[in-house]
Amino acid sequence: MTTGNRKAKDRWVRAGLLLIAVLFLGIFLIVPLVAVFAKALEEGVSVYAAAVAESDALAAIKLTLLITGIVVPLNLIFGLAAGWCIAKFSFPGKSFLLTLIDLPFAVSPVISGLIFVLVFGAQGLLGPWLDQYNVKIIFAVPGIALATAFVTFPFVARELIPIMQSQGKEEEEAALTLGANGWKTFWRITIPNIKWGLLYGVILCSARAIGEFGAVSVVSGHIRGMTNTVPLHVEILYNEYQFVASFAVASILTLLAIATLIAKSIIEERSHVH
Amino acid sequence: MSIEVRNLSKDYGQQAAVTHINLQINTGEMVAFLGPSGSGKTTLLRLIAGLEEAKEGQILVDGIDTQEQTIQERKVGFVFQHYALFRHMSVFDNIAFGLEVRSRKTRPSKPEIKRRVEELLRLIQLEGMGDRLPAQLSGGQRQRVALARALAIEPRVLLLDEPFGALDAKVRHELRDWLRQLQKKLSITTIFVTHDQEEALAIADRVVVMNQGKIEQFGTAEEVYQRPATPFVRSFLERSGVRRGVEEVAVQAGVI
Amino acid sequence: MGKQRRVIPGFGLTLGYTVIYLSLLVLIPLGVLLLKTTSLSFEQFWQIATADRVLASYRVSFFSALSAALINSVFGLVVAWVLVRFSFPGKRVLDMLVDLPFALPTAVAGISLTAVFAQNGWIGQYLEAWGIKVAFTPLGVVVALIFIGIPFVVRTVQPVLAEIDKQVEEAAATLGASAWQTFRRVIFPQLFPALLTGFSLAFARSLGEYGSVVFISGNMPMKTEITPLIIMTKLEQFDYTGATAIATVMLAASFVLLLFINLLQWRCSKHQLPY
Repeated sequence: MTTGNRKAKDRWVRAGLLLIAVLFLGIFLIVPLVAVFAKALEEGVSVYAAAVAESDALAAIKLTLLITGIVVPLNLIFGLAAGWCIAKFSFPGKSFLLTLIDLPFAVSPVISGLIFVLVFGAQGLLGPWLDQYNVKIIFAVPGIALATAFVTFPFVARELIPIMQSQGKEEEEAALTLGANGWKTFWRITIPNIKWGLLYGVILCSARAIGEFGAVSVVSGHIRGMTNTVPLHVEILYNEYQFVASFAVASILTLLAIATLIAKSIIEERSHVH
Repeated sequence: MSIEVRNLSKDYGQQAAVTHINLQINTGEMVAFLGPSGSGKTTLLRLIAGLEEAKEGQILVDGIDTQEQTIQERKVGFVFQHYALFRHMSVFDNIAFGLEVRSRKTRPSKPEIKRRVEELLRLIQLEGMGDRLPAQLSGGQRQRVALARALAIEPRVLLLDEPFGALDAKVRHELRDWLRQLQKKLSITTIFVTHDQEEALAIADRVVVMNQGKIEQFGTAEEVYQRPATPFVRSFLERSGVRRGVEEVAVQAGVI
Repeated sequence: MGKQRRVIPGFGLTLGYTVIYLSLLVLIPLGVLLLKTTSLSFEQFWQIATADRVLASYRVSFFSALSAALINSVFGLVVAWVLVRFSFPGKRVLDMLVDLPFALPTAVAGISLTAVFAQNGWIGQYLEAWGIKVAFTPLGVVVALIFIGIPFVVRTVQPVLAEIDKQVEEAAATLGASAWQTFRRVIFPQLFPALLTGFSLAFARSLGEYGSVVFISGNMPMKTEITPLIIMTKLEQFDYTGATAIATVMLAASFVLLLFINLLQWRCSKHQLPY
C-alpha cells in the first residue's frame, strides 16, 4: 500500500469512528436529555411554571433538600475519617475495609431500601420496639434519610481516599515537626490540599442524594406532600398521565444534573492546574 | 544540644529497620549518616526526629529522654527529602507556619513574625520572593525554603533527609558548602542523611557509616577514609570512589 | 516501651468512626437481611427463589444486563478512543456528557427514554417503520441499561488509553504494522483489563438497576419483569419473606461480581503502589 493510500484510509477510519461515537452518544444521551425539556415545555411556559410551583411539587422539593442536608454532611464526615485513617496509616485489613466501603455500589437500590424495612419496619427487627415508643422510621423522613445515606455512602470517601493516598503524609509530618497539633495540621494543611476532591465528592454525593429513586421508593410510602421526594413525585405524576407536569418537575432535576457535570469539569480543570 | 542514642531498635513487622544503635553526638557538631539504600539511615533520622516510634531504646537530647515528649515538644528542625513544602501556601506562609501555629501565649506578634520571616528570607538569599508559591521555585530554592521553614522555630537540632538528593550536581555543590557555613555560623547540632560518600566526607565533622540497620563505623572523615573499620566500609567507599573517578574523567573529557 | 504509638494523630478516632458508621449503616442492615433469610427453611427458600415468574425475571435481568454491557463495551471503547485520540469541536461537551447517567436521576432517565423510544417518540417512530418496537419490550430494558452503563466503560478505558505510550505505537508502525495490526496486537492487549473491568462494573450496576427500567419495560411478568421489580412487588404486597429470599439471591450474585471486579483491579494495579 502506498503512503498516500494509507493516509486516505486513515482519514476515513477516523471519520467513521467519530461518527459512530457521536451517533451512539447522540441517541442514548443527547436525545433523551433534550427530550426532557421539549416534553416539559410542550404546552408552553405557563403550564410549565404552574407544574413546578404546585404545592405538592414544592413539598417534594423541600423534603429532598432536607434529606440532602442530612445525608451529605454525614457522608462527608465519614469520607474525611475514612480518608485520614486509610491514607495516613498502615494497618492490617486495610484493603478489606476499602472493599467494604464499596459495598453499597454493588447493592441494588431496591435492596438498599428493603434492608431498612427489615430493620425498622412494622414487621422488622426493631419494629415492635419502635412502635411501643411511637417512633416512625419507615414511611417517614428518617427512613428516607437512612436509605439515601446508604446509597450515597461511598461517594465522598471514594473521591478522597485516592487523593489523600497520592499526597502521602510528608506535609502533615512537616507541620507536626513545626509544632502544629493534629487539628491545626488537619485544617491548615490537609483540607486545603484536598479541597477540590472534597468539593467534587460533595457535589456527586448531593446529586445522587437528590436523585435517588429505587431505595427511597421502598421506604417512603409515597405519601403526597409528606414523604414524597422529587424523583418520586415525577413518578406519581407520570403514572397519573400528567406527562407535562411530570417532565416539568423532571427538568429541574435535569438542570441540576447538568450543573453537576459542569461543576465536575471545572473542578477537574482547576485541580489539574495545581 | 548533644544527642545520645542508647540501644535503639525499630522494625516494620518482621523486618528489622535498625537494631541496637548506640550513638553520641556533640553540641554544634555536623554528622552524616552514610549508607546504601535500605541501610536504616533514614529510619534512624526519623526516630531521632520523633516521626517514628522506637521499639526499644532511648534518645536523649541534652541528657533528657525524649520518649515522653510529643513531636511538637521536641522542637526538631526537619528537612524532608522532597521538602514537603505546603503547596497551597506562599513561601512566606510556609516559613511563618511554625510560628503561627503556636498557642496564643507563646505566639510572636504579627510584625515580629514578619520580621523573623524576612530575616530568614535574607539568610536563604530569597529576599522579595515571599509571595511565590513553591511550584514557582527551582529545586535549589525550594530546598532553601524548606531549610528556612525548619529554622524558623529555632530548633534544638537540625535533621536533613537526603538534603541534596533531588538537585543537579552544580547546585548540589553550592548548596552544601553554603549549608556548612550556615551551620557553623548558627552552631546548631546537625545530622544529615546521604548515600553519597563524597558529600558526607566533604562537609561532615563525623560520619556514621550504616549497613543493614547497624552502625559499621563512626568517625571523622579522615578516620573512615584512611582506616575503614570493616570490609563493608572499605568496599562501600571504594565503590563510590570508583564512580567518582569515572565522573572526574568524564568531566575532564567534556562528556558531562 | 514496646507499645507502638503513631506519630500522626487521630488514627483511633478516624478508624473507629469509619468502622462504626460503616457497621451501623451498611453491615448490620445487610446482616439483618441474611438473618431474615436463615429463618426460612431451605425448601421454602428454594420454592420462592425458583418460582417460574422469578426465574423468568432472572433471565430478563441477566440477559439484558449482559447485552447492554457488551454493547457498551464495543461503543464505549470507540467513544473513549475518540475522546482521547481525536480533537474536534464540541469534544469537551461530549466528554462532559458521558457522565450524565451518573448525575441524572434514574427516574428522569426512565421517563425520558420511554418518551423517546415509544412508538410515536422521536426515535421510536423511525424504528417502528422498520418493525422494531423498543418501549415495553425486552429491547426497552436493554436500552435503559445501555444508558446506565455508558460511563462505566468509557471512564475505565479512557485513562488507560491516555497513558499508553504513543512511542510504542510508533515503534509498531516503523516495524511495518498496519493501523489495525497495531491496535489489535499492541494496544488492545493493554486495554483489555480496563475494558473487562468497565464491562463488569456496567454489568453489576445493570443487574440491580430499577428506576430507569421500570418505566420503559412495561413490566410484563415472564417477559420484561426484572428481578428488582419482583422484590418491589412483593414488598407492596407486604410479602417480606419473599422479597428477602429473592434479595438474597441478587445480593449473592452482586457480591460474586464485586469480588471478581476487585480481583481484576488488583491484578491490573499489581505493578502500581498497593493501597
